[in-house]
Amino acid sequence: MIDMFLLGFEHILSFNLLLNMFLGVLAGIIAGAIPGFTITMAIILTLPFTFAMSPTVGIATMLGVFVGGLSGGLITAALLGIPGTPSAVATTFDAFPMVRNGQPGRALGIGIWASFFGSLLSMVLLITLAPQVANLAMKIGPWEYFSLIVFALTIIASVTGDSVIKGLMAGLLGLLIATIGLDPLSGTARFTFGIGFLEAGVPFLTVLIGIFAVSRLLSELENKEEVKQGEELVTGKIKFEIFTSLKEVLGQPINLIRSSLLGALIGAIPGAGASIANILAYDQAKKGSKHPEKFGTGIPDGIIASEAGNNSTAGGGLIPMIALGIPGSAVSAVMLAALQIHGINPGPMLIINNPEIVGTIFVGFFIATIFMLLIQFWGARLFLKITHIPKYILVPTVMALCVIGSYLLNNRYSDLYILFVMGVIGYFLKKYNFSLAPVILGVILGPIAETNLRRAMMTSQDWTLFFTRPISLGFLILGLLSIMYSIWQNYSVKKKANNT
Amino acid sequence: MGELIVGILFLILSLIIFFQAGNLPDSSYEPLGPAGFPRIIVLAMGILSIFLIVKKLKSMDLSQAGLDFREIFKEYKLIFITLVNFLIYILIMRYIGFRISTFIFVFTTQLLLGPRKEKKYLIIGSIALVISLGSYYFFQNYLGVIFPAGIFFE
Repeated sequence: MIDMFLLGFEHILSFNLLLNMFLGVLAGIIAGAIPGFTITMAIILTLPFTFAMSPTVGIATMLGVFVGGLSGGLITAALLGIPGTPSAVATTFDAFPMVRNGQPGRALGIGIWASFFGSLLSMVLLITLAPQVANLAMKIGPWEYFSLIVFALTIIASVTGDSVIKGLMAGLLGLLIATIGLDPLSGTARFTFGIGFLEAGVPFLTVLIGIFAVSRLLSELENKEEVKQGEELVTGKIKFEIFTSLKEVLGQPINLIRSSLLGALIGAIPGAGASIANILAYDQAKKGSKHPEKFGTGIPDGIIASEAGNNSTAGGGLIPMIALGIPGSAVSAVMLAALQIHGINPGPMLIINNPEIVGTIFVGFFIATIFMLLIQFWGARLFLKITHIPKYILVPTVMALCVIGSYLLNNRYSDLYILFVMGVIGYFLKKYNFSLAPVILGVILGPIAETNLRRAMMTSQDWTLFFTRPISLGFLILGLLSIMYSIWQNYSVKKKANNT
Repeated sequence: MGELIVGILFLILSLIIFFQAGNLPDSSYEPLGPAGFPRIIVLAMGILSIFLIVKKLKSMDLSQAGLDFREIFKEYKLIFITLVNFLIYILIMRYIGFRISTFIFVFTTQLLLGPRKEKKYLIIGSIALVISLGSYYFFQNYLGVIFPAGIFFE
């Protein structure tokens, strides 16, 4: 083990590698901050550059992009209320209200530190737990998968906002949106109503940009007098104190560790990843909190949970990749491809055959996290200036960026029509207090749930298997507990409010 | 009132999808088929929307209900303007190309939303220029994205 670290350090400590890694982290942060530009896209774009590099330099650069990207979504999520990547959806819940309350520096500072610690903790887990977690992930079949998704869907009940009915309806709408297009198993076109381009389906990121970004921008225009006078997002002087926010983050060790553990676990399960982990961590933080009613008003707890939760998926996602050669996410799949191009086959033999690669991943992860911290703090003062741009400039500009982002995904013109429709739907849902996060959860989880449910039914018509397979049953029980707990919590919060 | 309308729309949507799903082919080797999962979704959605409608009807004073479209337009004028601009932007992009349509959208929307007096043409003009041309050349050159070029550049 120690030898591997030394080997890793030996490879890392070269100017060439460190420079590439630094650029990777920087590129990742920028990509993460732009809505529509995903971490996966950034990694894919990095791939051709790594052909010319040695395998260790290549993998370290990609790690940089990965870690940077996971923390980049924070910037737009906090300052504009628009998640830069799907992994920052839950960050908007509390970071944006905090910015609105006039503390953008505090929100960003807390988010950066939480990302840093989440990343570090997941690295420790990666090194110590890799083989064990990888074994567990191997036991997951369609039944377990479906039950896991059912569990994840029950989170909807706790992020519903003021009404459980409306929250659930929003979640179902998301599930329904995801069924548009070709059916994943039989290839039949569903609910296209004769519109040709709908056969390609509704891309999840277009829904995210439309529902969150466009609708948010539109509601910025509701107060027309203020907009006309050139109102800014945040008025007043901005404070940015690095050490105060460090203290705030370290003041919540349980939240920090729980969110990081969850994130690492979700990251290790193939297919799930950061887009679910941030919401799950937020949900758990709310459930474990003594003051759940304050969530969503701009408290540090929510930011810490979401940011530690999404950044820690990086370490978790690498666990099955290193131990088994199975990619836990699209990002690690591209990293696997990069290794294979160089003739290195990841899998159980990787640690024995190429200890320098594993060592570089371990040490590189640590250095990427440090770089992320440095760049974020150095850049934060610059990013914070965004909040001083008048709305009449900000809204059209960011809207044009949304169009570019949606177009970039597939180079498909028709996606822009979908963007428009989603923007309008999102605005009305927001206007009538339907919470938006369930829609996104539904769109992400819907296809996974349907495919696994139908696959399980095809394998065996016996539906009791969902309850008799232990891991599957475990997830279902967790789901039931999660719903009951949210209902109880909702009830007691309301009771408390009535008493005072 | 708005929530009631949203509830009714959700109900109509559930009904449409439920009956549409009936047209989807069955599968002999798969018990659930393409229609099964969507039907489960809209069944739950229909029930919940009826709940919402009933709840809103109970709590609402029907005599006060009414929609004054002129009033709504006045209140949400800026949003209407922006949405219409946005739609036109998307629709004309395929004809006049990405660069020109983006410039026009960013420029005119800033102009229409901005302060009535002292228009800062220089600032909003240069922002529109940077967004339209900058993003075009960046993404085209570095990422190989092909934006609609439009009739003027073909």
